[in-house]
Amino acid sequence: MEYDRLKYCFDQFYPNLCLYAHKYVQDIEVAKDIAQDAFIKCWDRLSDFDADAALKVFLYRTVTNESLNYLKHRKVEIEAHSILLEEEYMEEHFLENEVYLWLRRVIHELPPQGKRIIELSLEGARNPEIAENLGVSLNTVKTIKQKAYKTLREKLSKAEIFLFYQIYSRPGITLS
Amino acid sequence: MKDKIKISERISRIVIREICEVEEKGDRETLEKWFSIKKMNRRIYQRLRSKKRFNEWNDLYSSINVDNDWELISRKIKGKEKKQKRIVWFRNMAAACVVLAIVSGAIALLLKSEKLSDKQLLATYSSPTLILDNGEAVSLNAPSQVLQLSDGDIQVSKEGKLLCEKSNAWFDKEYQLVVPRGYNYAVQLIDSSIVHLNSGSVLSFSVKEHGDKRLVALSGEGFFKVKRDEVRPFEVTVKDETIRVLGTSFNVHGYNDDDQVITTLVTGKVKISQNNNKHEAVILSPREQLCWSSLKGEVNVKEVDTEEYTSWMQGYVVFKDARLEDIMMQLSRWYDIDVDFKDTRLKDKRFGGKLYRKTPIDTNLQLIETINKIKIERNGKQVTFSN
Repeated sequence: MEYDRLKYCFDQFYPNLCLYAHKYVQDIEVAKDIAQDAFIKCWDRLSDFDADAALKVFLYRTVTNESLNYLKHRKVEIEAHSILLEEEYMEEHFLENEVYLWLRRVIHELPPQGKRIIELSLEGARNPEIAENLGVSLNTVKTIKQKAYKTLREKLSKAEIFLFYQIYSRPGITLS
Repeated sequence: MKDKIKISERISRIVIREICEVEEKGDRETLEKWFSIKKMNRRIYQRLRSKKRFNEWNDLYSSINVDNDWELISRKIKGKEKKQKRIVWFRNMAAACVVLAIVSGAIALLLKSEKLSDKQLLATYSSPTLILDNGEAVSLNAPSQVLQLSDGDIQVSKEGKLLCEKSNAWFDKEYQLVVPRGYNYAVQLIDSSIVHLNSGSVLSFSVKEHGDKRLVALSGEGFFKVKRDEVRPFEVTVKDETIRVLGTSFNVHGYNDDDQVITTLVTGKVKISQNNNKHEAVILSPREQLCWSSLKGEVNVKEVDTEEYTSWMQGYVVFKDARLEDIMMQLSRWYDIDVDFKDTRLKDKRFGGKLYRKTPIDTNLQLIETINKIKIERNGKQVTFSN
């Protein structure tokens, strides 16, 4: 049962934790190791966290600390370090991760054609290029794009983007 | 602190809107106000709204293989487990009950707020379940029953088949039928098309009285008997492949844990296209099979004996010179077991035969053991193959 819970949390948080660590260490393989170690660490004390939100806090905190440790060992210059430690910087990481994750999820939930069109347009393709690429008319691209954006907007009005609310709003837990 | 969260929330919404190329009244003012609080905020904002940055993030995210990495750490954890588990077992039982209550609460919440992936659905439900678009989950375990829903009833026929009915309770909603490992299940859609689902599959469909297309999405394996309707084509989306039909019967095999989508046509005609548009659409004739491998980026068409690919519906499978790993994938879905090959070369052993689903698991395993001259050990759900 504990194992299933860890698996569930792993599926939910692992990629995001990797990307979060990557912001610090700038090496995705190192970032993955750090994220994995955090999960192994929390396995021993899984029952200490009664809610997944608390577990998430622990994971993020562990990953932050380990990333900074790694940088320390790599003897990265002190200045770079102090920038990394600034609160805004960490806030920005959170913001970026959660916003992008949300965006990624809703794009993935779009119907295949809408998904493809949004992806292409995010890659910088203009409507005529998209139409040519997909072999459909310009009007079709426009219609589908509008529809997809409408879906995204509707989801945006309903969604709670900030799962990390819980992290900030939990007393006694700071990230550094 | 609360205000800070509120601001962050507002700013992220603006950022997302901007990436989606829409602007709302007041967005500008909110941003300017936020910029005036701290110098850094303007930079944060400019970085966040960059499509390039999102794309880079997204590519990196896609590059992470969650299943693969889970295997890595799950092995490490299992090694640790043995040492401690016994001592704290009783304490853990109590804790586990609490955790279960919380986790199931969390799952209920999640169901309300966001859709679970097919994989999560299959992990959540242990018997065939219908998910409604309001998040309500209805267990379809007992045949021949009438299920009471908040806005109408659902009929399940004697043979254990779900029937969509022409009633307002069904119309204009999205449904997901979850068939976990160990089960088979069938559903009759509103147009009288029938879909048989093999173990470990999820079918997403909507019930509409009108509309120019009949759309469903599948992960796993299903056999489709599509009612002919030339005005409203029937489309099945499987991973990144789309199958268009008018009226026909065919089998689709596209589990998320392997990279192939295999479509076998029994009668009629289907048109199959990959969403990447790199390959031309292919029209299949009866007894033809199209295999799309996203990993290799290859499309192959060959003629096959359709029985081999559709017999699972009748409760047996025929293998002809099949790889042991592929055979075990089928069996693991039937019996809900996990297979571990101690020697990876064993995966490529080939053999043929007919295996029945009703046969007890150990009998089938014994059969495989004798034919292949290998050693098979079963411990609950865990089955180990060795030389």
